[in-house]
Amino acid sequence: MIWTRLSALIVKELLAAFRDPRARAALIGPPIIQLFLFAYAATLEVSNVPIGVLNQDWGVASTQLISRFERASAFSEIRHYSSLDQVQAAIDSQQVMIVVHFGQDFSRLLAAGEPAAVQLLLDGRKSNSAQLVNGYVGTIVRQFSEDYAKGNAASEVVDRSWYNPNRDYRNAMVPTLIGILSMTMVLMTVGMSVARERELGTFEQLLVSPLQPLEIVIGKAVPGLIVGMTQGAVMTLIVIYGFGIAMTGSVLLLFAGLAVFLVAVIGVALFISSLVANQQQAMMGIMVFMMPAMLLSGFASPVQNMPAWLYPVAMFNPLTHFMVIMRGVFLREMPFWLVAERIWPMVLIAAFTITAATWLFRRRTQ
Amino acid sequence: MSRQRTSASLRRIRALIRKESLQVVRDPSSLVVGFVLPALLLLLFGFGVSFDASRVRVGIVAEEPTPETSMFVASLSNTPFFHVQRAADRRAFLDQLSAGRLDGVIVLAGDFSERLARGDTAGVQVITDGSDPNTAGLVSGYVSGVWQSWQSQRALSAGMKVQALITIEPRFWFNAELESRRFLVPGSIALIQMMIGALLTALVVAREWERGTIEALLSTPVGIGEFIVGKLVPNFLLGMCAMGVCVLAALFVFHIPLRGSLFSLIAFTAVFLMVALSIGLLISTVAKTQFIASQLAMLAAFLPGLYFSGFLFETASMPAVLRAFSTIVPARYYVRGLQTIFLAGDIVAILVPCTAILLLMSTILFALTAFNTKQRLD
Repeated sequence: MIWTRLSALIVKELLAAFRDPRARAALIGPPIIQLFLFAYAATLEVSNVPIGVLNQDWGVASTQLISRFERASAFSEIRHYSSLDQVQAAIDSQQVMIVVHFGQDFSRLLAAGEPAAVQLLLDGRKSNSAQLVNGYVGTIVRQFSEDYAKGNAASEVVDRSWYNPNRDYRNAMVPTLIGILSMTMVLMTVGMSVARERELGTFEQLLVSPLQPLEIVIGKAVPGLIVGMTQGAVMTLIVIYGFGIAMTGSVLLLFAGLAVFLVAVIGVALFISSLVANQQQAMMGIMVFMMPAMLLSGFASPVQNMPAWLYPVAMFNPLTHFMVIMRGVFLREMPFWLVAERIWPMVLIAAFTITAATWLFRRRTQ
Repeated sequence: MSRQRTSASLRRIRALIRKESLQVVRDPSSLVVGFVLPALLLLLFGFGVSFDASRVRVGIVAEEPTPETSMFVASLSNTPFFHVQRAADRRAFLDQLSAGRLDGVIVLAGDFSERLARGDTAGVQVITDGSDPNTAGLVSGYVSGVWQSWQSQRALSAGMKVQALITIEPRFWFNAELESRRFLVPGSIALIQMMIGALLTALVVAREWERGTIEALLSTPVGIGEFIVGKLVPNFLLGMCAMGVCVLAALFVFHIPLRGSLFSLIAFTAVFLMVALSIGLLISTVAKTQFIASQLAMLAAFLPGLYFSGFLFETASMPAVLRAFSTIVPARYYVRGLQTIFLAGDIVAILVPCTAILLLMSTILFALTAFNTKQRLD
């Protein structure tokens, strides 16, 4: 009896979520746009930037070094300047992010076996990009320095990146779409559901039906889980076959993590949904949850860079844990016990959000 | 009669502004867009997002401990960047790296001291976690920096002549402390202005369409121009107030310097706000409901501002199509100007072109809005 009632409600919820064309557009449009943005726009990499040179040296060494910059793939072109004033103007107006400055006696000092300095002038308005460019130029200069003094080479550090040898942003960003898109989808379907009923006036009808409040909660949560898991599965296929990013860990672990993560998110969505009066307010509520959830998850910048007082907030964010699982299972061959370490906090969060949602739901229905 | 309609009346405009202001203040979702989201964004970008790997967690493995290895380990631990753990075997750290609890592992090979004595290639290996490319790059940069300076110090203290060597002297202008917060906070101010201008305006006008009150309003002697002015003024003022709060927070909470003048900050913001408001108006002429309006505002204003304004992601590294698209994103010019006003000063070569482009954009958008509104009413 209870099962027929529940399954009827679940079917009704799924139909309601996808029947309305504007709701359907809101569910299907954003994932496609985000997929595109993540794959092609979300990169902190710096490439294709011009580099400036102020060469006051007339020797061979500086010319040789400059020709190495020309061959570097990170730089689109070399712009030559003839005075510090020009350099100042070029950096001020952001024509270049970096200018390499060779002093008058650069080649002479090198030829004499004495240390020579190269000055790098960088635009700190974009300190992250500037630091990366500084790193590229530094590597080229050190390599040159070593080759120049062949025989008694200064020893270099051997640098390897595991899990993603070329430090490709796409490999790091695209797998996280599985969690982010299914989260968006679930928030939209579940978050809008109660608000829509209230807006249309059907909520009272639901309340006078034989369904108990807890059954209504389950009836609203299960369709969200179905939609989210489906979305997650589709995204996993796209990540693996569309972008060719191999999964090094276990699919089962990924989906176990996804299920727990989605239950936690559904709790939040139900909470928002029973708090608001109409769909537009539900949208606002979803945004107020999504922005911090995204930005404090380690998706844009690492969690450990946050100040200590924000750390607990990040730990209470289910996406923080699932972010580690997604990157871990795809790139880092994460074993079972390390994944489990990230699943149990999400179980606690899920228990909390679902309980809170049910409590609020009961209060609103009485 | 038609003459009377077209000529604007100050009294009517004042009444409209009063009505709109009351509507903004009374609606809870306007308050969310006007106050809650801006505060949230500012806090998130000021505190939550940071590219400064100030506490890089590395594991160090000295396979064969010697006086040299412990000297190098000591110089690594002494730099403020590293939070160092030690072990004798690299296997001890592999799970930690896989769990994301370490950002890198530094391995000093068994023959580290021998190689050093021979002046041979180094026995230092850095293994970084490529699943976070940005931190991985910073870690390897830091380690090779420490390695270089450790070597030259060692050579100097041993009385050896430093061989070859080109020293690199980086100078970061405008942001010597290399704090990512200094460019993220101005960037988030642009997002906030975009949200208030576009999202709030779109919602307010869409509500009039949704409830059918716009026909009622336009059947009164109020002309389209007056109607638009009445919608714009309260949102403009709200945007400027939000700007004031953001600037105070930037200066006193986040300690970001203001090297340009207050005048250029205000004037430049006013110009950008006009663009944001006109985007909001244009959206509201297309969208029939508040729900669609908020969706469109997110798509047309917020997402491009986040991805293509160049404050988070480098537009130069994107594929050519996206690079071309980023040139029509207004937030891009505003972010560039704001970062300059805050960190560098009133640089004419940046501010004048950016202002001109923004003015052009708002003119085009207003013209489109006026055209669309007329069409819709006829």
